[in-house]
Amino acid sequence: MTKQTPLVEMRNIHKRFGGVHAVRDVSIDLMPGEVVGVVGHNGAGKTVLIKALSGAIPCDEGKIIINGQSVEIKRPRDARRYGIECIYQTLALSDNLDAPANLFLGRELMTRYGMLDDGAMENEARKVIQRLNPNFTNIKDPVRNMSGGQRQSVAIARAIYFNAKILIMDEPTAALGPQETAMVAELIEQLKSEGIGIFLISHDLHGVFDLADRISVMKNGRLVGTRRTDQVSKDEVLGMIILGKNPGEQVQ
Amino acid sequence: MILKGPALERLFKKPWIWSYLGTLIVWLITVSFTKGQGAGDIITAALSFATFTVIVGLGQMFVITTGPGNIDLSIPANIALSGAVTMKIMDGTNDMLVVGFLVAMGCGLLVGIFNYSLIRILKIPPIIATLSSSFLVLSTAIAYGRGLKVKPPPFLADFTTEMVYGVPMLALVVIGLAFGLSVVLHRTLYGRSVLAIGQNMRAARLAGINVERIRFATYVLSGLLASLCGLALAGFSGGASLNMGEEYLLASIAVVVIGGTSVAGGRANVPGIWGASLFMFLLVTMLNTLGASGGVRLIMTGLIIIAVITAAGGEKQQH
Repeated sequence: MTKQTPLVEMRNIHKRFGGVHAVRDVSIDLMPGEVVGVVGHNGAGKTVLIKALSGAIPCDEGKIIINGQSVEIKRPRDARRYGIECIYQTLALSDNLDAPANLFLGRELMTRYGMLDDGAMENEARKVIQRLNPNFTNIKDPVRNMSGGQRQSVAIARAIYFNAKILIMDEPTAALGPQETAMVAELIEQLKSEGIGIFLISHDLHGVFDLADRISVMKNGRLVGTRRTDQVSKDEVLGMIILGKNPGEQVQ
Repeated sequence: MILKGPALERLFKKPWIWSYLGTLIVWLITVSFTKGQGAGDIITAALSFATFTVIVGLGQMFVITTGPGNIDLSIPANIALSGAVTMKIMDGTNDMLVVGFLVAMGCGLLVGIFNYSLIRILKIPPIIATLSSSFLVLSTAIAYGRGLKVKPPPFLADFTTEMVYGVPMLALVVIGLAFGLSVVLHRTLYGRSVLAIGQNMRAARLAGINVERIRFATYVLSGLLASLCGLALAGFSGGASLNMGEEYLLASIAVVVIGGTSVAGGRANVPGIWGASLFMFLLVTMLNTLGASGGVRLIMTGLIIIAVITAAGGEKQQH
């Protein structure tokens, strides 16, 4: 069997905050077109681990390998260069700006004279948002007037517009109603089929189980284990989350 | 001309409309009290004096818009310093005009850099940092104060008091300046970044905006505008004095707030700076005309600022 190169490999990642060892020696990987759920209690270290990949909190030790190449990620800007995009739990948007301004925040389109090209940004934003959410037309409103689903669409549109290869979704459905959650699930399937790899951070085990191909469980900063969702039951994963023991260890 | 319903409604949603309405009302009261006498002169005077408030108000607006806690209290000291230094250097002759202007800008640049360094390197909150830097700046101005008896160069004095069909030349220039800064705010990367940082600094940082570089530029901009104000004020009033910047501490903040810029950051309004500056001047004129004492004037100013912040805060809670 030929071994495919993983999209992302994080090896032996450590992160300390003063005396707190938030992430200890964690290794996870992600294949193209795959969804890997990272689950655990609050404070298990899943968000810190994933922020090492997004550049928001650089790790102290460990190696990050993207497409077989060892890379250094110190800032969000570095991560973007490798096609890593994030969608944050709290939906990091600027409330008084409209959807196009948020979509292009930090990467604005400019006219030849060095001015913001609002017209071009609106057109591009309309195209990509249309694809995600055809009912979403009031994109020129400030995002503070938008529903949770619309805000989520803006965040996701931002990621896919810039050709993300690797998507990090931190509690993507936490702020959404059932219908909007279903929409995000559909979107994840679509992105998978395009070969995008997705890390899904969540403590809603049921949601993750439906979407993820594999699940990595963390507890107290350590990786308890990674299992394929089709080879493990929810109860087993729940046991891993609560007890911190991997029942599959002997088998594998 | 009668405005149609929706158009009128849209107009009343503009945050700057209130400052202009206030200006109009205060002017009408004053003029009706004097039975129409000097109605035009009052407007000319208002344009002349509001100009200086607008210059510093624009700088303060950018600073306040970069988010909660950001404020520049060094404006009065900066005005005093640049006024004193430039009058001394130009020494009442036109020969050194360009040098004097560049030196004024140099003062502003240094004060801006100094303010930002205190905030960034020593991690002092902006309110304390700019207040303490203003003591240092004012002390420098006092130490340098030998220049204070010097008259401004004739060109500068003429330019700052010149009238074009009853409209002060300087006011026209500053209307142009306000327009330019409005373009900067709404059409450039810098302006977009200022708004984004003021609304959600974390989101701005995650989006890859260099937050500290933008804040640095903003404090420098405020410093430059305050120095420009010092230069113009010295030209206008026939020489610099050490306390000529004093009233601009409160005024620069008041016009930002009254003009519809959000004190919480992230929302700025350039036309409102002009409206509020005119309003502030005409308010004082009205109270003077009605024979109110200095104490009453200050109380009224304070009450109006509180009222505006309360009204603006109420609007925000609805969302």
